[in-house]
Amino acid sequence: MGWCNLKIDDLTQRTGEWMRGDGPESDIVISSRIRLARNLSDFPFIRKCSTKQRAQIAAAVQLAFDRCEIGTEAEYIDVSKLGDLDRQFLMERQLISHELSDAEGTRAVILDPNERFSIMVNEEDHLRLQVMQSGFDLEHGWSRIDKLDDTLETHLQFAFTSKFGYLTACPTNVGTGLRVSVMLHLPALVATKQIEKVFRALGKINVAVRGLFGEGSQFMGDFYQISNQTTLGKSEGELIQRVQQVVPQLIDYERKAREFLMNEDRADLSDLVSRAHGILKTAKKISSEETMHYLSKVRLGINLGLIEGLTIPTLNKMFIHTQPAHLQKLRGRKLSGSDRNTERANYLQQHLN
Amino acid sequence: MFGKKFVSELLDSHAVEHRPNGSYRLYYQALLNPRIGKAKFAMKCQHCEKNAIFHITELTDPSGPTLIHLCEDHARVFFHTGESLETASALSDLLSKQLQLEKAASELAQTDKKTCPMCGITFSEFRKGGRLGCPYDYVVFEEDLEPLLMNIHGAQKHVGKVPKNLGGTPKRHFQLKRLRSALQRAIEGENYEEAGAIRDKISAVQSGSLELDDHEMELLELEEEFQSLPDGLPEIQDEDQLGDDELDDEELDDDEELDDDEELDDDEELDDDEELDDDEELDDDEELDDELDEDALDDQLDDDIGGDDAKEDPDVK
Repeated sequence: MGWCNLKIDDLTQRTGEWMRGDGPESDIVISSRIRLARNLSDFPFIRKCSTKQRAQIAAAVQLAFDRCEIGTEAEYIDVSKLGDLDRQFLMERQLISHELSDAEGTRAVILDPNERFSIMVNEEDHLRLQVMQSGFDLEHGWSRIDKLDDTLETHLQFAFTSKFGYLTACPTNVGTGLRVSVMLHLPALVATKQIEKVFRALGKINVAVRGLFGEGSQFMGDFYQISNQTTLGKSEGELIQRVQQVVPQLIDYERKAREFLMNEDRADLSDLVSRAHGILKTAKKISSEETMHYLSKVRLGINLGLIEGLTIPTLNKMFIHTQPAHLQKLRGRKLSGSDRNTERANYLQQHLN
Repeated sequence: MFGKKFVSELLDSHAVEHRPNGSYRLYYQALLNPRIGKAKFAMKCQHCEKNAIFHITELTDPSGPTLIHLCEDHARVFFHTGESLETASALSDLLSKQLQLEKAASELAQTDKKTCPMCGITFSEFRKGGRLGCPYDYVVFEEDLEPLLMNIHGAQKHVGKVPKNLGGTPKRHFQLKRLRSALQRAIEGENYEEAGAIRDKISAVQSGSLELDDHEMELLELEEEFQSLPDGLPEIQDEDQLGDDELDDEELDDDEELDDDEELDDDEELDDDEELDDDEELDDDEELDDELDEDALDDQLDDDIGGDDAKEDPDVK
């Protein structure tokens, strides 16, 4: 697909919204994200849809998108026609989910080239609207997605009952269909072994914690994604507020933990950061897990002023470019696992020295 | 002993506590790692009805890991006193929960059979897969979903945003589906007047000015079911159904037999009537006879005794 691939290749060179590294509290909060799940009222949910029905849904959404004022630059991308590499690329950028990539049949994503919003079509629900923002900012995010929802609704009819709200394939999403999440970098809380306390506190107020890259993933690189657990029985405003209230506390804990490390444990901390920096600068072969692990320490170092000559935006760029699909796209060809590890090390050496 | 991959998965996703006796205790919150245990819905505390927020995996027993789910209060007790599962109260709690579950099993089997007329999913299919089939499921399974939603969200009713375009309710879609089938049937059966009336109903439902009541919906559903049966009742005399001459003969014989029987029945009826009459007559006669006999016997008695009035018959004065 001509223009389609070009657009994705364009993205390669950009860092994208959520990795920009600016925005409020961006030394700790990486990004804020709000998602809404919606289904068209006159079709079954995805699992019970025939191939024809999936195509019909995608067509209806595409038509609505053409007629709406969603964004002059936004593009409708047919994911079913993308190759493995391109799909993985979009996943690494958090523009599509694993589920959309692996699903079968007609599916798509409507993408903002600035990566501030994306709309997945035919994932677990017919539509998954998403807005992303660098740093900690949920209010602006909500007003943007609310407007997006209203706009689409002028050309589409969503399944809804006054009793259960917006109807979704999985009852865990019914009602508001809202998932609000904030990604935080908490290396000091991990280093001071207080992260478990944080989990307990969050559990008490129905806030869920996940690793980087969403559901079921591990806590790679000291990144933690917190989000609301429930979607029914509370208004969108209340659900957002609940998460919003928690974040400043977490930021505070992390800052205090960082201070502690600087005051009590400066030597150890310095050593930790230097070693991480050193390995990244000199390794000849390095995996993406290792890279993320060390980049996390380097990020902390930058935030605490222990490393100079390196900025957060640069670091973010390195983080995304060392992901498997990104590496291959930069190189312009597919690479085996072993070659990727070599290529990754080359890239890091280039950009850190 | 538990498998290297399993243990490393657990360790990666849990916070690990090394116990004094050398075993591990791992714990995680809520939806931390949905892969393990495949918890799709919120779990209940093992000791009470509250939601569990602590999920503890004990790796002390060589036969396998033990999963413990606790609410905040019971977790506090657990961590504080270092209880293990072997305490009596914990065991009895588990047993009573088991009984509760068993009692509900027969009810559950009934619920599991419920099917959605729009998408065909059964409640049991939903329970196994964790996903519903279509928006109308929320109408069909409403009662059964309520406790589930309470468990997941702590609520059963939506609060919050309402779409401006409220037309597409699942009920309406279902009613339109039934009406369209009825329209099809009317057209095929060449009932054009009825078809017109149905078309009007369809427009009214679409515009929201009409909603079919339960009775009307039941009628439409019955009609749809009847559509699958052959027209009318099967007839024996229908020659088209049979291909054999022999069979035809047999039929005729059968018919004759029937006629004969009918005749017999008629006769019998007549006989019965006559019999009745006869019987009545007989009874009358018999009675008379009895009376006569009694008198005759009395006379004879009198004669035997010698005509004396020594014993007078009290009836005869």
